[in-house]
Amino acid sequence: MELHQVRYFLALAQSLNFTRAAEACNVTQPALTKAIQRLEAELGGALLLRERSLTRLTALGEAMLPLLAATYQAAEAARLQAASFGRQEATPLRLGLTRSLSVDLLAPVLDELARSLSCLELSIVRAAADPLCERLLDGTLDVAVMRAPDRLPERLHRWILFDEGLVLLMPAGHSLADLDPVPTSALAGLALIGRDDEIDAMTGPGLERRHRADDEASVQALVGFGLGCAVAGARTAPATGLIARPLDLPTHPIVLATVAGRPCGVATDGFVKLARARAWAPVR
Amino acid sequence: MSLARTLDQLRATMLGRPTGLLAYQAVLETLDHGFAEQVLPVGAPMPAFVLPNAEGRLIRSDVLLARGPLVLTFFRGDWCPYCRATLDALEAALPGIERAGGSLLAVTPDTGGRTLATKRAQRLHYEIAADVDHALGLQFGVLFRLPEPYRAGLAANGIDLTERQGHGGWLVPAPATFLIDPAGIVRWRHVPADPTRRAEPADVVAALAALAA
Repeated sequence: MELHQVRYFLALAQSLNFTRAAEACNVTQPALTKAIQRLEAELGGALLLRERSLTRLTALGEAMLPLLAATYQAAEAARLQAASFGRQEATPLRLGLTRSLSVDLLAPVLDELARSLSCLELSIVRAAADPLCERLLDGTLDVAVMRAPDRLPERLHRWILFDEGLVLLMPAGHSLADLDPVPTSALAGLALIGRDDEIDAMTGPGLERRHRADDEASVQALVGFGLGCAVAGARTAPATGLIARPLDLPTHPIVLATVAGRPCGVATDGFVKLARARAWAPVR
Repeated sequence: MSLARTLDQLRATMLGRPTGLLAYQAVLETLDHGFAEQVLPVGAPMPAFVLPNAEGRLIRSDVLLARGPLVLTFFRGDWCPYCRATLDALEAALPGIERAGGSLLAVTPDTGGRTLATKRAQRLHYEIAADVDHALGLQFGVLFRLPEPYRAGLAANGIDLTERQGHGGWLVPAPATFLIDPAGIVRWRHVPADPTRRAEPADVVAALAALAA
């Protein structure tokens, strides 16, 4: 398939009108029709139903639309990126990261991005997954890496980087230290440090969470003070004096998310490509 | 042994199964409608690119071309036995490519660390990059959608392209090979109408030598 065929299809899917789509693409209507027919032949079926007064997408058209849009957008981003070679333009990246994940996790990607984009302007926002989703949607974040809540807004493109289980952080010598895994039933009798994030939701709302903290260092400090135990992601490094024991709970995906259909800048495109190209867990 | 002979033997094994033959014929039919005419022609400028390589670095086409001519080949992924055989044959031809002043880049739509896994498993010493979301494949005009019998065959063998590519379109590049001169112009290409046939590495080296002459 060719770039222009995909461009014509995207214009047609938007206007559902051959005349307007041809105008938008600056081609004649027969040329647009021919390109769409070739694309249909190649994709193995009709993309549009042409009725007398109505044009609409077929099931195949509906299915291929977001996929071809993603590929077209990637090609456009690549062209933009290539055009910016050697230019000294500010390249901002507004990155959201779930509070319970360490920035260290992203070190290999951020390191390469900083090396290859001399004008990178990085800002990192730490929050729980739900506010990160809101900020993606309202355009104040370009990309987020988060422990996926059960439901992500449909408008978000998401790719699973890896699956992570949860652990229980406790002071060394705690009465649960010999359990591996710790059964979730054991949480009911514990004082837990609340986090007000997706981990609280994953471990159940009915537990006692008298003390709360909203960043990982403070959560662990409270555990160290003996105020309770805390649930954390399995890749979390326990602070000195603390130990981590796996919890008997299903794993959750750690996802990379962007807003579908929103054109992205050079830094965002580079970040997403690097993050998706690499292995975050052993390759199966 | 030439790559063509290795691929002939592979084809004989793979197409010995009735489902394999059906899937193969469906692909040939898909590519039988002027596919090659859509692919970036000789004489055209190559679209500039930035791609993440196996080692997690972003590689740029202008940096690669500054070193000399570039041999760029598309492959479907390490799930494809014809691709693995081709990558091995290119490794054997690498000294010849480098002697002729060229460098080699193989591009796949597979993501999730599979470029590095391929490089390690096959002990390859050239660049392998991930074409995330087929950005480069679309610009080269090499993309096509695998027809239903082929998709069914992959699924039956536990090969999930959606998971591998992070893209659910069942799109793969035709395994085309291009020789690009340092000015970024396509000077030679091999676009197979049958994805089980590939550019012969000796022909690539000869084209490279002709370019240098």
